[in-house]
Amino acid sequence: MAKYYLNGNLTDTTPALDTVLSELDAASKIVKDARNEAEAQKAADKQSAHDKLSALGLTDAEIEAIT
Amino acid sequence: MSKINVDTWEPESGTAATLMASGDTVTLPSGAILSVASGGDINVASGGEIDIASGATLDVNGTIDVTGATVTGLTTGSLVKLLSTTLSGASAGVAFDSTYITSTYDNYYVLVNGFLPVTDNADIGIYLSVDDGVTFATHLSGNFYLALNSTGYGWAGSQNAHYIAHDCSNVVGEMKVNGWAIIQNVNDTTCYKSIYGNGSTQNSGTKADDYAYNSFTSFASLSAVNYMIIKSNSGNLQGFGTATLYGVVK
Repeated sequence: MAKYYLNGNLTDTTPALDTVLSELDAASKIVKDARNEAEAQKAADKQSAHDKLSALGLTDAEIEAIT
Repeated sequence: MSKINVDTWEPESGTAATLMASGDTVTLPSGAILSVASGGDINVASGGEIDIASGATLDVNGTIDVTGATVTGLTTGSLVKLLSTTLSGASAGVAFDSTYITSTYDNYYVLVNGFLPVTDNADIGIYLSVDDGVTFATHLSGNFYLALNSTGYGWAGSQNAHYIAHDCSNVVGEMKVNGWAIIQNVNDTTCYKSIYGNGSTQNSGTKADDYAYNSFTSFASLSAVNYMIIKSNSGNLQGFGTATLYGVVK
């Protein structure tokens, strides 16, 4: 049992509310993990693209302008 | 017509006196002033009224104390503050149920001020329910984000709540978690409900970057909304900050 504010009053959660909030958090974790993974992949791809363009002779400013 | 000139008028006995009788009118003529001295009061009993006619003005230069008052008759689009909750201890969230989310208003405004999650890197979001928090229907949500003091920016889609901010720091730094949201068409049973809003936070990663969020959500239910909870998606909220719910007059 946890505490939460209901209509301004600090109140004990019910077992049913605990369960549904835990389910929301579990669903949220899946979404957040996927988001973090996608962002990490995007950052890695960006760095890889930067490195390849840099190897072709583009300056950082030129790379920034087209990415 | 007779006339009585007196300097002081007091009850013949006791401390109460009645002025005139039912149906009578006392007129204060132009230029005359009814003055209440410091410590004096005008009390209007339940069922009584003070009417200000069209064209007349209630001129207040002092304080209007509306503690315990019910305000009615506001024009369409006016904001009515329904409840403000100030956190003083760690909690699983801040909820408003069908006591406050009713058919009286179709659109609600919620202001979140100065929250922090207990768990670092948590997201703080708004979740709606149509059955007083028994279940929470699908939230279809996305947001754009922008770093305020670095170069980061991007977007996130397919989120499961209307998030005020992602990746929130759990320590007080340059920013706490602040934001607002408009929740629309809560009683319209022909369409999903919409939530729009902005938020900002100090990012959990560096504890130095600040991020702003612009979030959009479709709450996938045709039933009327009657419950919302503002919560961290990982652990409790810390014991400070305020959430205030307003209704927009129909």
